Amino acid sequence: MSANSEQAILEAASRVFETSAFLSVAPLHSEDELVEPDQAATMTFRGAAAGRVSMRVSSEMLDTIANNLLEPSEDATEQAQRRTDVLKEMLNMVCGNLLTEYFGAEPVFDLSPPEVLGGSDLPPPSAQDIYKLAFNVEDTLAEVLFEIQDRCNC
Amino acid sequence: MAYNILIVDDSALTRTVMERTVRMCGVEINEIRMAEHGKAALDALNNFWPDIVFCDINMPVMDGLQFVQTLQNSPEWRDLPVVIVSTEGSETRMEELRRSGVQGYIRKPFAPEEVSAMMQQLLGAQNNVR
Repeated sequence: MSANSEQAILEAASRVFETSAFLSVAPLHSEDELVEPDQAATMTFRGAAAGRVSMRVSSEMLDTIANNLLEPSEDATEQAQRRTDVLKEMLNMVCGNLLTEYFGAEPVFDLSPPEVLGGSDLPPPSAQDIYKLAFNVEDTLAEVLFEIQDRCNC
Repeated sequence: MAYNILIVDDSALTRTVMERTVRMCGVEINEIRMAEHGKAALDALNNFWPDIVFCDINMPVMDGLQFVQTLQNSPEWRDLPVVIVSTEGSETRMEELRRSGVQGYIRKPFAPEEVSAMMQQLLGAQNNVR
């Protein structure tokens, strides 16, 4: 992975998690014992380039965000719905901010609605350029996969 | 004077956060209504007269760009202040939106102060006109 793409992912993720959810983001250290991801979502972008951004995170972190921003719910179905909504909105913000970080402020992109994947696996790679970065969000593991399939798909 | 606000976003999380943020802005609020896409927002305008609309771009059914264009084509609603609240950061897109009549742009993730400043700016301008 190039330093540029790694930095872009970390910058975008830090801005999103810290500003919207008040959670700190840090690079991984080998001694970290982190809660493993069990939820994943993906979305595509199209414009000056085409590709996909996916993210996997833990339910624990999603619940923390939901409880920080919304009234806590004791209803399991409602809590699961909130978790899904948080996951999709976090990915949506990471994707938009990552595209600006990586491609600059001029290109226009159309984004697909985020899609929650069943389980924690990221989608199989489908692009020529693939950048992946794992990081620490409040002692939970998060991972972003940034795939660029076509840089000239205008 | 108390103001009416319309929040248009397909994310229930964002709608709730925006509602709370608006209520903390120090501006007297009469009523806040929420819609999950542009079509639902147009339906809400049948019996609700907002002073500001906060609207996302990327939504199902009718996106924010289509919603803004529909307002611009309406003699009744073309002067309604619309603030786009979106994850998109393209300056080209922002310029397109400004030309389409959008009066403000707040990028997600946003700080409460950005929403507060935008409301003061737009509602202050309205009061000066009045």
